[in-house]
Amino acid sequence: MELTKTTDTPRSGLQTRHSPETGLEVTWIEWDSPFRATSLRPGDILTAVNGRRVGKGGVGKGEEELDPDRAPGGLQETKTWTDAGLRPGDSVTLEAERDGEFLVAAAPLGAESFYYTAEGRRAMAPGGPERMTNDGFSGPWAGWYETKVKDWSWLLYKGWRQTFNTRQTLAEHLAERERVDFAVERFPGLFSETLRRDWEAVKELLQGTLWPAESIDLGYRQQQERLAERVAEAGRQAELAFVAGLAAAVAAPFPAPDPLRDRPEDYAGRIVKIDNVTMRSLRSDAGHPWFIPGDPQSGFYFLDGHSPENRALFAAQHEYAKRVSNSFPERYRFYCSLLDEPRRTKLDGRVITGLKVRLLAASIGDACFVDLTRLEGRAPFAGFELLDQGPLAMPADDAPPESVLRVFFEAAKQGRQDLWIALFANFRLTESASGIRIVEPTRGASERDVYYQWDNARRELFKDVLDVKIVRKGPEEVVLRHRETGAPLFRECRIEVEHVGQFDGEHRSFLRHPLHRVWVLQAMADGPWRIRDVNGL
Amino acid sequence: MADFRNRYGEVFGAVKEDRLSTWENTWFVSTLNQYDKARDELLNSLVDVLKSFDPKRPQEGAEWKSALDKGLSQVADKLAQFQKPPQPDMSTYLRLEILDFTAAEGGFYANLRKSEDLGILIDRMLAIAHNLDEKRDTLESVWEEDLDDAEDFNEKAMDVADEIREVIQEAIEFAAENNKTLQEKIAFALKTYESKPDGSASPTDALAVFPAFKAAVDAILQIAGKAADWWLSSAGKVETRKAEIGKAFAAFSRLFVTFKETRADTEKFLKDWNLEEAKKAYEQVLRRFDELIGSGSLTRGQKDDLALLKKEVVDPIDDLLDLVEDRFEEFVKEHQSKFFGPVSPSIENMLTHEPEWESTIRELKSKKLYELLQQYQETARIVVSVDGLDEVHRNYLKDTLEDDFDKLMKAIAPLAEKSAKEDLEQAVKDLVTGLKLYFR
Repeated sequence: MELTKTTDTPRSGLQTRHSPETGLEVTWIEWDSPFRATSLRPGDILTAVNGRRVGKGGVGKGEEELDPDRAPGGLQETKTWTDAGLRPGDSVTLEAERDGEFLVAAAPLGAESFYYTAEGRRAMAPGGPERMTNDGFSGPWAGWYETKVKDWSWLLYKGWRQTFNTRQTLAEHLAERERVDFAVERFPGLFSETLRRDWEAVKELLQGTLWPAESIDLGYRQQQERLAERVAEAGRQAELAFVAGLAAAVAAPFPAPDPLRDRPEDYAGRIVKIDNVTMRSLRSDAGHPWFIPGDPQSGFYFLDGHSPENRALFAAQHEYAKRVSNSFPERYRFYCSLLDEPRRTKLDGRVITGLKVRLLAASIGDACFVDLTRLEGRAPFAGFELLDQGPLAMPADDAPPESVLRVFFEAAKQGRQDLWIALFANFRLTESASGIRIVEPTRGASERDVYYQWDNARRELFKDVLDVKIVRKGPEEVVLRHRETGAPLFRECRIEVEHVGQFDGEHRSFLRHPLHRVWVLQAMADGPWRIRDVNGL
Repeated sequence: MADFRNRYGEVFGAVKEDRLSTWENTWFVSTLNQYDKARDELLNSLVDVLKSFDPKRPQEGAEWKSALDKGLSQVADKLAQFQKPPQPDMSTYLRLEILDFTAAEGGFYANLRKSEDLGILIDRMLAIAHNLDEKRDTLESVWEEDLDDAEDFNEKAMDVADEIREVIQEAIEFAAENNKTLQEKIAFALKTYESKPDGSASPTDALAVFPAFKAAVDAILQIAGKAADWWLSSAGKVETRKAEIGKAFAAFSRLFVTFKETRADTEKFLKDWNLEEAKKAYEQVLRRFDELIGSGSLTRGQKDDLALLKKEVVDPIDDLLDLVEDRFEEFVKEHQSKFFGPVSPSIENMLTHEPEWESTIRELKSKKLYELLQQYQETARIVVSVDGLDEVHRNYLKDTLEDDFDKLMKAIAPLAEKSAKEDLEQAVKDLVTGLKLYFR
């Protein structure tokens, strides 16, 4: 029984995708394509076929150029070969571009072929596996392989330029190993070898770059952990000293005095410690915020959310989140002195009465302690002096874009929100592949967006992301010039970064939402480079 | 819906049709139409945000911003269409026109983005309406609670006052009864004395000689003694009641402190959330529009579109101001002279129950207990000043009766009169005076 039936139809065995922006991109090379043996690979941009330029289609199309439809992988590819009198086995030369570098790949043309098993059934390759059986795996070989080609092609030609979850995809990919091994063992030959190679290539891609441990800068993490511990310890000491320095002993807060029925002289001067106060007890009373700890059985206290002490508390918390850590429980321990000022209001449909209190000090989630008895000229929280502003400064106005981006990531690591925010651009110019530029209405960086992204960046840096590496810098291009003088108005530069995490004891690049791999920096006229879009990390 | 097409006309007029190829003309007009539609929808969505305001949901600042963001995203998409001509051979003329046009529109949106604070100002007006409503409701409930407490405390104090009144009433009745018995005993004693045998004898002898007289004097002394015991016991009761009434009045005064704090709170509230603040926000909104329209970087068509936007939003903002005005008037109507401004006498009385206390005091004052007690003293004097009583007997009686009565009077009078009535009156006076201090 003949295991392979070959036709006379010439074919390159390439799959391609055309877009006006990028040109004709190789998305896959079939396992039986002679081009498998060349240096060509998915992601390369085909620029010429046998010396004839491949057009981008649309804008700039010239008569002498090869229409993408007739190029390898196009619907009319065969016609190109037959018109040129080429037959399977005749050599063709393809020129391609990869990351700005040119390469040439020469190989004979393949032929449209059909494969069979020894029993004469249609197969994926000569001898098997049989297309419509599954050999105990889920789904027949034909459907499975088609899906894999689609998935792997997308991964191999797109690479990491699109955001997806690399580690999750890797786990799914590793689960296919058994079937690949089965094919290699049961159906030895080119198909299985190629299948194994493709599987390995995808695995390698998904595993991400391996970074030597010594190249990972974890100093910021250790520094932050040490700092958080030292600030917490300074807080504990300050709290002890605060309590020891009080004129009166700290009393249990509940049951709270009844301002109408208890005598003021019985609670005057009393200092209470109200623990486990959460943001749930911060209530708006006709537009005015009050912390109202307590319950109808034990009574209530009123702590003015707009009091200078409370403002100072929130300022301290904000400063702590910015400079030390933004992961702390939003739970407070308040030290308050009771005021002879009863307050009556309506809460959850019932009238409640309680005493106003003055906030003297507070512990924020046991992470830091704030003494509020003296507001002028004091540090935001105990241990504030341990924070070092560090030498990180705004990059010079003529600093190259990669330096600006480096300072940006460093600012996130060091908790320098001020610096981080200052590096976003407040302008935006976009340009299509066909050269048409428009000035977009910039969405700008609203305060809310910025803080959201800052939180994201800090959270990632103290969770999965160990380091951010700049791996590729595109050219610094002038994208807009003055209409009359020709002076540069806008410059742009794309920079690729890799986020490094730790997986199975190795430091590897990875990607997932909301991490950003490609960063666009723009500079207006000869102004400084700034980051175009508000992203966190 | 308003028709924001001034800019469209301007662009349409600026791009010379005779300099465009056929496909350029068709494509440009169609893309401009699509863009214009998105732009028109954006501006109309801002008007709609204002027309659908809900004072229970003062988030207009966020809604305005959200409408702005959404609209800007849509116009950005439509602007991006200018980068996708169907054919590659676009003329330099059209390319430059597109760049000029989109750059100018970029300026327009940058300006419009500055209107984010318009949303905040409008939100401020809504928040004023909302908070006035919420505070009015809260104060209504607080006032009911205040009245309940005042009623409760008053009832307790009045119960004690009633008890004092009862003690005094009992004393009056007791004194009246005693007086009657005393009068009888004295009359009997005098009669006995008048029928004494001639001759002098020592007072002791006289008493011994006139057992009937002695019995009468003993009876008088006994009555006086019993009266003293009774009075002391009553005085104890009054003292206890005084402490209770003091406690009731202390709670009363704490209620007034609370009331005073509520007033201070309300005044502070009204500083932040009042009609004047709303009017200021309203004027700022209009001024802000004028600034946007007056911006030198805008084209005529863009300015005309912004002027139209202003015209469209003025009516809803006027409505919003009217709403705040209504809310404010309701608030004032309900709570003026109570929680802000001088407290009216009727409100004072509702809290202090002053008229009720005045009547209680008047009634207590009308109880002429002291006069009754004075009669005891008079009775003693009558006995002592009986005609024909020799000097020795007179002195004896004087010592025995008059001094005892004097002592009795001294013991009883302050308790019966000053402590019960005057102290009570003083407490009420203090209460009312204190209250008035809280109110002023």
